[in-house]
Amino acid sequence: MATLKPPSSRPVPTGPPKAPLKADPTATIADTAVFQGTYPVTIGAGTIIHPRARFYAYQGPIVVGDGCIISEKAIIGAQPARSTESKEIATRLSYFVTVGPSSTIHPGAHIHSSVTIEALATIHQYAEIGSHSKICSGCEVPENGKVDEWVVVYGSGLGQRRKRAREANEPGPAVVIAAQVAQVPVPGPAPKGKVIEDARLMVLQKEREVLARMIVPAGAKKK
Amino acid sequence: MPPKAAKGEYIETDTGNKISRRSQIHGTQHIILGGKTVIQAEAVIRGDLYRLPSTAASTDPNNPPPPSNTPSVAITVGRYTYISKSAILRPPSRLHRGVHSYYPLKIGDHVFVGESAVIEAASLGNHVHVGAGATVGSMAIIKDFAVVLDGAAVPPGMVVPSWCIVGGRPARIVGEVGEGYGVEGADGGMARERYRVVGKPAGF
Repeated sequence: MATLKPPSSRPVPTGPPKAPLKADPTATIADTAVFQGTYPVTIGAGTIIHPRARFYAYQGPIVVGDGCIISEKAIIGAQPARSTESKEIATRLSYFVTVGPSSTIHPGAHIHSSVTIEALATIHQYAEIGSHSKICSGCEVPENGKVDEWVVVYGSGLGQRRKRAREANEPGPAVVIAAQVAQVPVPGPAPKGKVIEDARLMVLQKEREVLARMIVPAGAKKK
Repeated sequence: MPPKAAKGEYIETDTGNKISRRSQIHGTQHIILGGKTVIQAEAVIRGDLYRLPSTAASTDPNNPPPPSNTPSVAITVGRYTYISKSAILRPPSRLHRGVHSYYPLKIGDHVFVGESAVIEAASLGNHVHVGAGATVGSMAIIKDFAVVLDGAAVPPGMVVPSWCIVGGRPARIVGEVGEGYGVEGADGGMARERYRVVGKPAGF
């Protein structure tokens, strides 16, 4: 090959600006994840970025805390096309946040720790999601919307909300009858929500450990 | 690949799979396509999330685990299955006996997966129709001839029986498909026709 330059007929590739990435060495970032924009993107320790996740830091910095999982095709930030204000808008994801496939988080959103955002959910600008909350698949949180702690947002459109069970629940009537039929002792009350949440976070930790071994990291040469 | 390959949107394999050049397939060695499968642009298929060989087998020194030269399968897709634009197929995962691992995602024949649907199911049966923007949660099982309506959210672990229509968020059974559903050429039986027109210029 005589030349490795692009053909002169095409202008010098003016691709989108690559966002300055400040990632912790223990974070796993897939090779096909996209980071665009002018503001810095910060990734915390142990965070997993799946392939094809996209970060657009055109309107402000993006900060992702420790132990997060960002799934494929998730979009964090927004393309520059509709940025009319020059104000800097920071997007923050706290610790242990899970972002599902194809979900969108607009700039200015603040996601507190241990939040789960499922597939195809949308978090609009300046929304605030309290810790240990869950946004179920397909749901939207409106602009400036606020979701309290330990809340589940589900249903279509703006969706319904309910508190996550935090206290122990007695077994339901069907369980009691089933236990009588089977002649086994009635099971005790379900564990408290806190216990379940702790268990979920432990499972998440295991998932991150497995994913860190499976995802092809950026910079690694393909076979 | 020879440089003079025909420039089309789709690559056609020996077994008749039509795969968009703009599809985003990861871990191809862990994916089995049954032939005549269509994969459209920007569809993400996560074959890289396969089941790792179990580490528990190495505890027995007299019986070492067999050499794992056969790659474990992450995703199996049947014949005449159609994966629309921006759909995501990712194998489900769960914690079992203290080990977090991914489980194979099996998709049957004549399945339709709508645009930007997210599939994390354990299995989709034959002739299943998944609407656009639907999500099928982790470890869900969708049996043969079931229909998931557009925008439905099938919760994790749900089992959808055969011939049922599910919709809503969270998804519930809202009806049954009529008699004759899935018969060749009728409603639900258009998979061959769908396959045939892919990659053909418009108007044919």
